[in-house]
Amino acid sequence: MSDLKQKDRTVIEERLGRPLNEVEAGIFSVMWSEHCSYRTSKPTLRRLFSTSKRKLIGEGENAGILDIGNGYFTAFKMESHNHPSAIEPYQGAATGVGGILRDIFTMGARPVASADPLRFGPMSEQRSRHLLEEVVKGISDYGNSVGVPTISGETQFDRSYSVNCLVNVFALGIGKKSSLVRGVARGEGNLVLYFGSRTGRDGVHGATFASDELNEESKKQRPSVQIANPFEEKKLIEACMELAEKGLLVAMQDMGAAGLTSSSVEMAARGGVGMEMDLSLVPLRQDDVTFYEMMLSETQERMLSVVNPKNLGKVTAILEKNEIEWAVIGKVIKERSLVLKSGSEPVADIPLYILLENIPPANAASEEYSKESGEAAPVRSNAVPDTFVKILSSDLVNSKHWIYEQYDSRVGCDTLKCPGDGPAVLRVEKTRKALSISCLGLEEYVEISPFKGGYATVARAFLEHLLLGFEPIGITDCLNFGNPEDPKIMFQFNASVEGMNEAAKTLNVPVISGNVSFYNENETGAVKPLLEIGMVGLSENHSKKRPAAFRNLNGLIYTIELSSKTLSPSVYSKEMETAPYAFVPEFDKNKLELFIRTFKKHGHLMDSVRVQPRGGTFTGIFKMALQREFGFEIMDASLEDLFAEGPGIVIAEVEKACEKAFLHAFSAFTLCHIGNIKEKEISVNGMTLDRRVLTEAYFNTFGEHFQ
Amino acid sequence: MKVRIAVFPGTNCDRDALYALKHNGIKNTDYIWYRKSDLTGVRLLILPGGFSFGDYLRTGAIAIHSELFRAIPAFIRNGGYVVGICNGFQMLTEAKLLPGFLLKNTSKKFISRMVTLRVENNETPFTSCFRKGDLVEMPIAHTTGNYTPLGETVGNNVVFRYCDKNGEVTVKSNPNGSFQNIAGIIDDTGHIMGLMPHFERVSDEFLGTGGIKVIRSIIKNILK
Repeated sequence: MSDLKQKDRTVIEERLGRPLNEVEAGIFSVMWSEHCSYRTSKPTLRRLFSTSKRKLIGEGENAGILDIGNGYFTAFKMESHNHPSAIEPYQGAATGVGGILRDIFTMGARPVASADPLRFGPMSEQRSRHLLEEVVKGISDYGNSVGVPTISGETQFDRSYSVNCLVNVFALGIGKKSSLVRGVARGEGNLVLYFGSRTGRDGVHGATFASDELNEESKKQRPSVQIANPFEEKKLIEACMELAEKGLLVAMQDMGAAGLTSSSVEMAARGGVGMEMDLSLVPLRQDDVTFYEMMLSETQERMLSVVNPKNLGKVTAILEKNEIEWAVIGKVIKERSLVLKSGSEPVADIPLYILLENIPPANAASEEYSKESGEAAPVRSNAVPDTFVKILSSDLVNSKHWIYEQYDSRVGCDTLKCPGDGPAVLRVEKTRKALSISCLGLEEYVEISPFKGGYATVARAFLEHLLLGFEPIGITDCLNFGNPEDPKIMFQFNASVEGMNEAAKTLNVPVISGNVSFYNENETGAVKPLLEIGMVGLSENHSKKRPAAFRNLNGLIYTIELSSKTLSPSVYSKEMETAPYAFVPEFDKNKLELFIRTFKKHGHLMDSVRVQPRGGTFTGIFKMALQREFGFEIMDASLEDLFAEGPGIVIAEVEKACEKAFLHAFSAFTLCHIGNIKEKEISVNGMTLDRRVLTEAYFNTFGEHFQ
Repeated sequence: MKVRIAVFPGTNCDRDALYALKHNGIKNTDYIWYRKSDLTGVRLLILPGGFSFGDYLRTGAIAIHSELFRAIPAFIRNGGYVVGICNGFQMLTEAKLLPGFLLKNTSKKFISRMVTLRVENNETPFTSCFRKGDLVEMPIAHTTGNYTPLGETVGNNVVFRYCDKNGEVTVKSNPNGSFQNIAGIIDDTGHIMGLMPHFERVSDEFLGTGGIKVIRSIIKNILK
């Protein structure tokens, strides 16, 4: 039965001038769902900065795409698969990967990288360990099978994610501009060609499922979770690459959320045409799938395309070579309607403007708040050796190689920097050109002060790419929030997106694609709001990539502060369970802009450089020393110097001989000579720390949860 | 002197192999679709990594019944050479063209990371550019790489073993539980080699160079 809200049904029937039949009601229920229509978030998203001279297509298509020169474009996007993953973690995560990859290759771009930002409850909980293990396996099995390297991600933990874990998936593709395929149907009489898996009942109501809270009822919705078939996807990738390269398609779109309905309707609407389909021709997995289920099914690995009849033979030859099933199920019509038939029997006839335009906005109320409290009073206690071990072994900090070693990160022979720390680097089709790719979400900051949190996310990600020697060229976002009918959550959403937008504008990095996931809550409340961004940077010569690992013995270690910093929230305050106040560090906008200019000119004065990671400056220095097994000494450092966190704290290695020039070039900033690079020994304020103990705390603790 | 890289539905390292060979100077190299079986003029057939036929049933189990794979015995009799990487190695053991079995890793998980290998045998056409005992770094990426001979003697057939940075063959340096740390073996004729590590992924100055000597050996001994 359709779950079209009565209020919407009344509006639609009035506009249509007749009652809806069951199939039509189903179609409206998905197209008017939050998941497909963005009726709550649209007013906010419409204001996003998206200007770029590189931009070929922005929001509204399957993914945003940017021109990267030499005839290539890149397409990238991020999506959530939270609800399915909370109910059925393996399939939920696997189909999440599959879905986002299709968004990329449907445009004629070969998917060459994926990344997975994840959020779970604490690893002390059995359920959270189970969810993580299954989600990682789902990503691993799917991504590895289709031969797309998983090269980045981030995993964080908080009690608010125990029931409703967050699984975001990012994918990036590279294509030749001449092979670009758009989801724009054109040409009356052109054929509507279905190919890929047969349609089953899986995922019926997936889009409306994603637009509701998780509760006991949700478990009964297991049939709303789709089943993954990476082998079919791999065949589709190869076939679509060949179809795109040979220019044999008028249009193509994958059947994602709301499957056959959204793919047909959206392609027709973009082209200003209509579509007529004969549902008796849709390939079915079982005979008794109803028309209603056919239109709403979210069976995976299915594509819908528009083909000129004169190319049909060539297209189907390529599909058949790849052993992919196909069926011509309809044609493009002039009248701007979705016309469904079964043989000669009419099934549905809906004018597209009624389906897609003037959807009553949700008009969600918004109520301002800030959870910032107290003064950032100096902390006087001193760190003992145990403190350092506790920070490095925290799941918020420790190495996640247990996760990313389950992902093939090198297939494709273009991965120049593997997952582990900082943005990954992928060269473009074996040339000197390369892309840097990272994912970042700062849920703590967004919850406490949404605008500052959104701003900090973009600015910190920007710095990561800049310091690596890359020019950020675009952002994709995945916005994971609670129930937007709660005015505080609506405020959280609006203000954090405003913050993200403000930073994107200031730094001139367009937001080219994105996804909103509301209703991430359950009986125990909403999740910490995750404004996750994927950022992509470009370099014309990857051999100029700047290292983040220490290079020279006796190098000087400096910090440069472009933002304020705080001990609460921080990994320190969480692990030591001290949270006397909450304060979100802020960037000094002018300083940030000046730093970018100065770094481009004088960055060579730093031998290695990075943004302070989670866990504070001590953790950053430890990570920089790790790769070449250097030691270091830190002198006269307070607890705040060591563990306070800020999104704009830069840690740099400077050679003694260059110190004077460095101090001169960066004189406009707050600089602090915090330590020196040593041969092996690690010491802080004269106290020697056991290198082996620290290294084991960092490397081995995460995997121990699963032994 | 042609080289052909087999492509099955689900193969995903075919492009990597083509890049590695061409980048290192092997010009006459191309793909061959699994439904073709004409290997006239071909000297080397590469069975690349991936998930042929989705690895359904068992790794490599469906691929070995293809027209192309069934042409391998005659191809070898006529002097051809075959190298199977990862999924290709799994096909070769599945078809009994190489001794032993590949079982799931002891961790039961996919393992993707760099490993150190010790060259055990440099008197093969695939490894003659190495010295015996050389240490090389290559990546592995598999779930089913636990090599198990089950009673067959393979001592003389071992080409590569997993070892630590100092060249010691230890339990800790064995990523998947394979018998005596075996990473790659060759058949008695010296014409068929199978290995789990991806030498094709470390074949240029930016990705790593551990695999280049395998390609140089192929050029010297097989394509001369």
